[in-house]
Amino acid sequence: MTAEEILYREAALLDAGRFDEWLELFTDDAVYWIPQGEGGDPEHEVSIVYDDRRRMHERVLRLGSGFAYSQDPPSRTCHLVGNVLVEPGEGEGELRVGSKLIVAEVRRNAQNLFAGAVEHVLVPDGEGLRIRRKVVRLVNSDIPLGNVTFLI
Amino acid sequence: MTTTTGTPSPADLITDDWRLHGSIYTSPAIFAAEQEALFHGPWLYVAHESELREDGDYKTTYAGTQPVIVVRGADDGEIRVLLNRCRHRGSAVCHDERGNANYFRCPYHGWTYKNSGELRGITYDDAYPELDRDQLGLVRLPRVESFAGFVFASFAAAGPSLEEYLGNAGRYLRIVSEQGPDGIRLSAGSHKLAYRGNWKLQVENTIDNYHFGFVHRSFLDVLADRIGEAPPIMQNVLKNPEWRTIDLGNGHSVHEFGDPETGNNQGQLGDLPFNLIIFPNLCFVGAQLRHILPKAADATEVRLYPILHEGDSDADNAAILRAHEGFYGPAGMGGADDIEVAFDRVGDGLKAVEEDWLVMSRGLHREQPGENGTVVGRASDEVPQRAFYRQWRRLMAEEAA
Repeated sequence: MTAEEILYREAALLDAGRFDEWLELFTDDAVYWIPQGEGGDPEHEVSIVYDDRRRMHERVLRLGSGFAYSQDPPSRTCHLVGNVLVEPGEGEGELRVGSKLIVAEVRRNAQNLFAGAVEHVLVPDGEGLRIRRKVVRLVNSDIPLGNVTFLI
Repeated sequence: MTTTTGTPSPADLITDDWRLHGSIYTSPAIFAAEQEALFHGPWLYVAHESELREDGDYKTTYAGTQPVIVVRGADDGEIRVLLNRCRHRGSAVCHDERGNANYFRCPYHGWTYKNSGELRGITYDDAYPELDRDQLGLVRLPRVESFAGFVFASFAAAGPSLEEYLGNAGRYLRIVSEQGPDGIRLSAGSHKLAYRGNWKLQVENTIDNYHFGFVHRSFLDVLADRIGEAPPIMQNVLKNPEWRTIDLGNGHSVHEFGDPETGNNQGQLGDLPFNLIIFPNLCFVGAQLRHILPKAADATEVRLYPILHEGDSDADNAAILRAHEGFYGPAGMGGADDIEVAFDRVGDGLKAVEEDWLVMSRGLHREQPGENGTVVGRASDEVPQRAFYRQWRRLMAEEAA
């Protein structure tokens, strides 16, 4: 898959609720980060999400447990990926992919809109690529939010 | 239910056998009365001193529903709490959440105030030949006091000192302030939550141990996956005699996980050895300070400030943040389930008003008197909720009288 195809496949898996397969797109040392506000430094500032692969696994486990009430019923989402810009990364074969993301999310008779700039770091894995780092800088991350327990 | 003036009578809303009337959570008239009785006289938390280290540092927040600026004087270092409202035509004079300023200049017509509140400049002021500028500073809350680094303010010019008001709860606030080797700081920003529901639902839920095994079953499953065995939280809630709830008086309450000087919370949700409620809207849970901001009878905002440790390493403090994010915040694996079940679904249910009474008597029969006038119950008993509503009823009745 090309870099763009990885992003589109990730969006399709999330919209389909195929979270186990989504997890497989990531490397074992992956970081999934949604900063809060300006989001300068996760070592010193609280984030909405700052997950290592273990925590990502836990999120997926929870969503499938049948007792995650904030996702019962589950959100219906539509991820739209655009403005994709692929640049070489730091390591051998590594790619840094910038994109813009819009997610429409429907739950409990209300539609919410989330949008932001996304950065993926993709690394070679056999014949393909996997995601080592995903950062979602939401434009609304500094306002009071409700339930953001679906996967962005 | 109502007096001749149309105001609900608080004495009729909570029965002696601890049934609560649903309108406590839904009535705009009761919400308005609360703003007078609970948020316009008693001490209100506004800031932690670590947010205002330098002269001129400020933050904006709310005293009840009223927007305020909490600011350390640029000239004298004194912390003041000012209403964030220009005296001319009402525009808020400061819109940043935090910063440092010597002056606040209203963007509407350029009136300028010193950060201590005095009106310093009126633009083109020849049009006001007789205006008394000394009377037109930003309105200042008459009393501001600190306890163990926590800054409170009151709209009442007279009344009990902050230390008297905190009473038995002061000891616990001091323990919070000593979490780090050199104290604590609120420097990590805050999670901001919003929900459509009454602010008191968040207070009650913060110190409700009865719900944990139900609402947070998925999180208990996550913990079990993480540590390879069933976590001990529910066994402790149901069986551990050292886990206890205490009515501290004045509406304050605590849930101790053992001795508060040495107890712990299994390190899963945060390091604080207790959940603490400071009446009416300040809470401590996990590793966070939780400031609940009432907006309307059915609208609330909540700010969660992770408590970092002064004197501990960056890595240790980052671990506090990661543990906090796992459960709390808009994407947390626990807190969002509280919003769903304890607030949203309660809101759905409370619309069925044909039989409008709720039951808050859990453990009433086994309450025991403790030291200094406290009341002690078991971990899952509704002692803290009754502590809150004893004070609520007292203040609301005084206001109505």
